[in-house]
Amino acid sequence: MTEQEMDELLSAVLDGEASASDVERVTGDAELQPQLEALRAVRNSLTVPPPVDGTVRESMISAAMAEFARLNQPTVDVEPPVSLGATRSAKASRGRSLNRLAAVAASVAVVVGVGVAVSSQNSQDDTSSATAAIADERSSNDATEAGKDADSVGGALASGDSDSDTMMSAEAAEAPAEMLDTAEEGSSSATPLEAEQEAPDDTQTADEEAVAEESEQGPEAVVDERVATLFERCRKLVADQLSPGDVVDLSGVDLSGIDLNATNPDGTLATPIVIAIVSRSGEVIDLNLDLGSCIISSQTPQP
Amino acid sequence: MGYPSYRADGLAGTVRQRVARSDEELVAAGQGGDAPAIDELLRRHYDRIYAVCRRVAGNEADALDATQDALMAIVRGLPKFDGRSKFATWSYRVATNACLDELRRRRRRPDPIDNEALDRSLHAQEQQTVGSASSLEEGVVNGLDIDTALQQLPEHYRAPVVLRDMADLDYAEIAAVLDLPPGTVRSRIARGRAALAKILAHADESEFSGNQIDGDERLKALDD
Repeated sequence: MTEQEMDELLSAVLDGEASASDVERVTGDAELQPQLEALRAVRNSLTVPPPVDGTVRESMISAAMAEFARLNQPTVDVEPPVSLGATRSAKASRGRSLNRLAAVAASVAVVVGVGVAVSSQNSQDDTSSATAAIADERSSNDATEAGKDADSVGGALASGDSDSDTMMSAEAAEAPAEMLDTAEEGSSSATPLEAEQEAPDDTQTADEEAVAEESEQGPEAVVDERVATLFERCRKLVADQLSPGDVVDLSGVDLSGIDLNATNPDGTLATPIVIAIVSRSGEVIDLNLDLGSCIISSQTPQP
Repeated sequence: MGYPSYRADGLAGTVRQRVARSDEELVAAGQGGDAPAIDELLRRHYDRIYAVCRRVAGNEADALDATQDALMAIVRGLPKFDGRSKFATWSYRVATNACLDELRRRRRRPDPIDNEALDRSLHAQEQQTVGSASSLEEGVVNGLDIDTALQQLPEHYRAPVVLRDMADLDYAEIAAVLDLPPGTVRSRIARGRAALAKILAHADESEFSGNQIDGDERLKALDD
């Protein structure tokens, strides 16, 4: 018997997995007993668990539970998610799912490459969510490519129109601050998204048509500087999903139903603000904006 | 498994009954978003997950990193856990993979602390009188650093031994965790244990020249 075979025999006896004859053979051989006992001692030494630091354990479990909470954070859209520009507006629509938001945002992404949907967890509020878009100040070729990317994401997407791409690119050269200024001045200048809406699109899908129909009524979109501030603080979290030059158009985000002074004991907003970003690669990234922190609560491929 | 069936609810003088749920029940509840169920599940298995990581990783820092990674992976992967295996087995698989990943990362960075620990351990062994008929057992019983000894085993021997002797998984479960044939698991456990016994007892000094164990030579011999 080779040394390896002997090791396996002794180990099998130790684990109770050897045949009766093998057990008898080992137990009857005095020369094998020290080796068997040595293996038993090894096993015994391994069964002694290492000491556990209770503080570390609590910390780790807390971190894992925080992750669980983030993953299970409900993103209930209670409000009309669409506000498509200064001359277009949203109509309230309760109970729309995140997927619906994503689809809407993705349809925006046809031209601008990246879409953003915003929702609030305040299910009692009818005016707390909207969609916005990330405009692209890069070349129209980039925008067209982004449209291809977005087109591959879901069936609700249509291919980008070259004319609207051009219009979008020109408008998208505006910086976020300028978007804010424009909104504050009540200008009727078309936003990048509005440009897209006004551009002819023969390939508009049913989803897009529904969005367009819904956006016929309602107040003008207002860029809330608080939204811009909150997003800028969190922007780094989604930097990987944004290309250089991407500009986030938050003009459709409406916080009118959210009291930013209402906070939980831990300082977080009583009404979480969740933005669902549809990236160029098609991922839906839920970004939780808060006063003191921001968290990507989930990141999943768009269905 | 030793977890409490009762828990104080924080009110003076009152204790409310808390029925201990099975792993399967906790998993199902957790998959439905029940945070307390996940909390209980993690607490129930934390110690053994950490223990596996500690033994496989071989040092505290890597073990803690791997444990945290494992807990996160469990939380993130729970929705996909289909219950075909026991939760404990699945969690050990996750933990073992986290540990092995951590070890791979470790190879890409210097590890002076562990080398110092190994030197100390070897020095301690040199001070001992070994070589008698009972030296193997004595060496182990004398409490030589099991982690240091484990670190001298290749990972593909270390993990099966730890899962068998620490996590108390059977060969089939270890085979499932490590995605290996049961026969290979059996062989690796046997050879790993034998090598570990020799390392711990330092009984085979004649195999090595001088006072320092040539780890590479030992591992090469183990793999031959």
